[in-house]
Amino acid sequence: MLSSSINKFEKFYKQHYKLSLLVAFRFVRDEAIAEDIVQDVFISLWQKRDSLDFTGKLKPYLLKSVKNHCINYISTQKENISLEIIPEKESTAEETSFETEEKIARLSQAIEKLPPKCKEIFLLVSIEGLKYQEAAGKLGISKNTVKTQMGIAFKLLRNIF
Amino acid sequence: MKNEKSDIWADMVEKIVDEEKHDETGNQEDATGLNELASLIKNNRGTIKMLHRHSESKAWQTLQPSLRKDTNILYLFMKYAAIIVVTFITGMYINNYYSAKETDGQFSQIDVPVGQMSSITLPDGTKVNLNSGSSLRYPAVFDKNKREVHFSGEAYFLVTENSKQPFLVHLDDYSIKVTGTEFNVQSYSHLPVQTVLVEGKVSILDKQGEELAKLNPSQMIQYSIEEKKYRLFNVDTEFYTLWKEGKLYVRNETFEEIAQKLERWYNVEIKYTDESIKNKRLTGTILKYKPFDQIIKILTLKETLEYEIKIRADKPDLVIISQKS
Repeated sequence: MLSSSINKFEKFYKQHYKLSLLVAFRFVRDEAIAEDIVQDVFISLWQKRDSLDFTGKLKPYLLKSVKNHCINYISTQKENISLEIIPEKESTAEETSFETEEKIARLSQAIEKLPPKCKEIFLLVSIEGLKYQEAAGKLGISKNTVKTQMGIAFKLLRNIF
Repeated sequence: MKNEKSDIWADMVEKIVDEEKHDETGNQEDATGLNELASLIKNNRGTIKMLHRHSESKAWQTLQPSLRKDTNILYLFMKYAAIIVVTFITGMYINNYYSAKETDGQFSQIDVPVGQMSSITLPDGTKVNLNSGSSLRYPAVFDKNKREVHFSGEAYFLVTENSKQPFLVHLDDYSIKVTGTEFNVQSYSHLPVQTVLVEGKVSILDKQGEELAKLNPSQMIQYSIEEKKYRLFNVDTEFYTLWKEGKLYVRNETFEEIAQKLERWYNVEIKYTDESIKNKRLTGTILKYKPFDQIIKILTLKETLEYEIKIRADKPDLVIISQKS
């Protein structure tokens, strides 16, 4: 019985890991802390698994929990950062929108699905910021190939919207 | 045809958008999609780059060991301490198998060494999360009128509901009487004893069984052994209970107070070359999944201090904190 719950949990985890990381990072602005918080949240979810349902509304619950953990973390840092950065403690039903994070997470997934060479080129140019010529040189291909692949990447990626 | 001398970002996007516009099948929608994509990437490049360093598969592998255990035993720092020691005086209550003879006055005791955390489930289903340096003594079979345990250290109790069989936690100085509830109790010697109620109802009884106070959720009772007085506070319960999720919040505490906590968790001894270091105040979160030397590094870095760790064979490692020269 444990093996099927853990499989469901694994699926849920992998599906929402990057989004959770993005949400945490948005608040704490520290990669390592964001990572730790996300792991803590998922462990906590796993411990509560008997009272939770892994389909349906679990995603908003997950993101809210990530946010809460972050707020708690931030509020202990308030001596070190300016007060404007601290989000209001949520007392109303108002939900925070994570639209940008959702988009970035989708983008990230879409990038992963790009054909290997195309992905490699795309990452070098868009993320690493290499110029076409530099990317071409680094990969030992022509600038035209880079350009073509970038075009393909863009066309494939814009479907995330 | 545009001059392709420069390959900068905007240029590239513009080119693709242009091509789309001139393409028979292209339309305004497609151009917007591309612009949106380009601007998403441009505005979040750092974040996307950061995200790319992470993989859900790798993260899952790191997480998995923490999930597979039946009780959530968290191993803080393998190097420093042995596995949790559970001494059974007699009794095999775990499998709910015992003969009439064994139920007579048999106790179990769990001692959590410094630097570890543990959690157990008592015979009635009550779950207890024990922090470093804690000790819990409980019977193999609870008395029919009350469930009694003896405790020292820090623990988070999730007591199963049973008003006919109230749950009693005996500390050195007072006792906590509960009926179905969640609370956190901290009772280390040399510190004021404190109990925080998360949910439910508790009564605090003195050693004679007289009621000292009743707690409501989000209240903390703090008992000072020297003054022989207790005080009630309203608290943010998460602050007091997050330790069981592997974190400790530190609010304007002196370096010495934090050091004492670290000494407990990691089984180290901390000394100072300069007494004034002890009084430095810090606020922050200590994440307990990190090895000790990373934590001490962060703490000392913040305060322009230096540290030196001396590994000692049969004793806790010695950590010397000094001012940065």
